[in-house]
Amino acid sequence: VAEAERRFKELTGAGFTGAMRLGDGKSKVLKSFDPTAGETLFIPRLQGG
Amino acid sequence: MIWAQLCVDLCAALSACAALMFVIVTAERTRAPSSEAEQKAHALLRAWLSPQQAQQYNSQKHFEVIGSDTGTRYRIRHGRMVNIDQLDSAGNKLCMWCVVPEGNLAASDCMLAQKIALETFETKALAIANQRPG
Repeated sequence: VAEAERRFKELTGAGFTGAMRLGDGKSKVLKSFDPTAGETLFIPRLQGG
Repeated sequence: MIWAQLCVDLCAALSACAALMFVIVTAERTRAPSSEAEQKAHALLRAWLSPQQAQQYNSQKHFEVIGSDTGTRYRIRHGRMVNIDQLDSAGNKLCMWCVVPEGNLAASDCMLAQKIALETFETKALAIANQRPG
């Protein structure tokens, strides 16, 4: 868990957004590390195209 | 005279090398993701779609999302750029939006990032996005 938290802070600090799946197509952005999250998706920083 | 000619030749050779390096680096940055990456991204996207969105995507290669802040309907088409349509209540396209994650990602990864962005932080995402006429 400590390693996962370190990775979370590393990626969010680098501009990634962490999100977790809630089911039925819904998701939630993680403002801080959630040790109960089964799966966290990290989205790279967004930019206008 | 010979030294001058050597200098000219050397400069030309260095310029050619620099141009070649630029072409190689540019090609590497714009290289399309591998088909394996596309397949993995596609599977991930499918896992995050609602049943209704998955059905839409299966049949029409696009799916709709509802903006988290305004309740606006958006249609995310298969693609990486300028693939978000803002819809009115009747389903007509009002305009297009382009917002993409940094990096050379597979189309399905881009679509998943766009879905999560619009469904969870719509206003922030649109502040970054570029709008195009419909």
